Amino acid sequence: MPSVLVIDDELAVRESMRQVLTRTGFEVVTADNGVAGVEAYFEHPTDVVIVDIIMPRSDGIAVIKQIRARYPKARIIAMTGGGNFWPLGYKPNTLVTDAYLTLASQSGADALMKKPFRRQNLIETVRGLVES
Amino acid sequence: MVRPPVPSFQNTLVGRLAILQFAIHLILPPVLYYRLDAVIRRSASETFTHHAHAYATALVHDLELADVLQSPNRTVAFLDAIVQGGGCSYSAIEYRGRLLGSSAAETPSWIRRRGNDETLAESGDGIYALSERFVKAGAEGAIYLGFDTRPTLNQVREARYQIIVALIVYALASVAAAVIFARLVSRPLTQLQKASRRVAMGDPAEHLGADSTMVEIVNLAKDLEFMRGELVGTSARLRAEMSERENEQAQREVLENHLRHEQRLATVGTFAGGLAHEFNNILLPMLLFSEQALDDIPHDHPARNNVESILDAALRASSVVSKLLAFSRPHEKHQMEPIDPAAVVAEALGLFSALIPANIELLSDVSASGGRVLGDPTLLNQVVLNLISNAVFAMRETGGTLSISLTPGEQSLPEPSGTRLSPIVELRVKDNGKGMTRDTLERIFEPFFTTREVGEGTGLGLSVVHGIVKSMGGSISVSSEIDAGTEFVIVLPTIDVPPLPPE
Repeated sequence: MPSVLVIDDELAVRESMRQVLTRTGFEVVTADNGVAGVEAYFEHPTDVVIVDIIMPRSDGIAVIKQIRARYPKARIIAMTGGGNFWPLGYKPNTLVTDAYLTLASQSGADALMKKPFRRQNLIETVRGLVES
Repeated sequence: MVRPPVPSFQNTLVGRLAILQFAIHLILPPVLYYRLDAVIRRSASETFTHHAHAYATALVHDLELADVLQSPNRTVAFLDAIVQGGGCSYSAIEYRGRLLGSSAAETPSWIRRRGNDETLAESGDGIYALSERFVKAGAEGAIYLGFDTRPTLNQVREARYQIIVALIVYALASVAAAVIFARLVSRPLTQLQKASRRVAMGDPAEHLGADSTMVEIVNLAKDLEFMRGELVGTSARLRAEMSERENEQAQREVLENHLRHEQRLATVGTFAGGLAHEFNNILLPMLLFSEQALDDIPHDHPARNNVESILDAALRASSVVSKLLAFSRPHEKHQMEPIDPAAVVAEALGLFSALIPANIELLSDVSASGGRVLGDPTLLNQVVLNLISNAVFAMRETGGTLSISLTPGEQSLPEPSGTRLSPIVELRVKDNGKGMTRDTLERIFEPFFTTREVGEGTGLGLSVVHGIVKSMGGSISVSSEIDAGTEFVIVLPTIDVPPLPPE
């Protein structure tokens, strides 16, 4: 059974994705921050990692870089709700959705998803990566 | 402070001189007259008496007493000769206290008085009498002579009359000369004064000159003219400076307003960006959970409809958020490509023309050679569609004309070394619909600001337009008048790239 690690700081996001992916036939592990996510992956590398870019403590970009550094063949999906996330130290008007995703892609993400996405979109993206 | 004189005749230069002359000639000629009259009278009198005495002295000197006393006839002949030859009117001779004879039948009383009046008498019978005593042959005698003073007095009177006439003529001539002179002075002064007033009233072309040959007046005119030149120059400079300052002030106000507005929009944009992030994170589980739930709920279950509604609402919300994000990314520069705005506008018009109601007339003036701009064609399309749909909305009840124009132009950009002209295209979208109030205009680009009924719009359209135009380095402005219509003007900088080769 292919496994997926979901790293997001929002419980509802994690749980909804867990439900969708579990029902589709994936084994789902979750982490609520970047640091915990990287630790979890290093302990049990999953087939796919889905990571939110904007998170408190070690953000998605750092997670992607760390995982990619140790596991060059890891399959990583980056996702973001976009927007200017100034409360967390991002300067206003500097990075927005597409820029985040570009950054994630440059950092080594294999696929990108804009929040909110549909269930079908999620399933196809994960399947696509698993089968590659 | 000196009180200005009342403008009456006695306060004018002519009036003053005339009055002065009149006063002088009221006193001077009578005084002159009396002095001259006295001199003439004295001189006439002296001459007269001198002649009379000289005649008398000569008579006595030449007197041949024996011959005269020879007979009474000789005496009478002697006396007649005196009267005829000496210009006197009467003569008598006395010897040894006895009157020997007289040229008149009656002896005048003054002989009896032995009158020797030395002055010229005007009164009485007009006779000037004198006696010349002599001593001949050892005895005393006297010759009495009476001169008629009337011819001399007439001469004096004649002279006096001439003096009076001369003095009157002199006085009149003096007054007239004074008036003429005063007018010679005052006319050029009045000319100067009137010209000065015209200059003061704002006729800078008025030349200050005076028709005069008087050095003082010519100099005054010259200096006044110089002063006028300075004044006109100074006032023109002042006026120019003032209008320049007003312009600067107005420009600064416009700029300040613009900055304030932009700042507020930027703040709102930043906030909207953060909000969008939050919403997307909330919407994702809503979408996923409702989709999951729809799998679980049997087809005939009443909850199914509700969950479908939740899914729809979440999808609508996500489309609102994506618009919000478009507004909050004004500085995003990627995905830019050179695009032909004319083609984009034409495409938008093509899309929209079928949707424009029959009561709205579409006028488009899109010039193809407007150069190209850097941007995302989809976004620019969105801008045009947004503005068109707003215009149509504003005229949906009244109908009207929707004009769209796209014209090339230039705008001046501030640079360290002055300003630089830079090429632009200008997109104008104008309707004659119901227009907007000032308050609405102020807030029109703010996200979620709308005057429409619930369900007719999100209030995001124009904020998105604003964001897109900003991201293309352009500017958008709007002017509106209630019941007259609204005009949006978008200025986009064009870029210098060769046109695409035809495909």
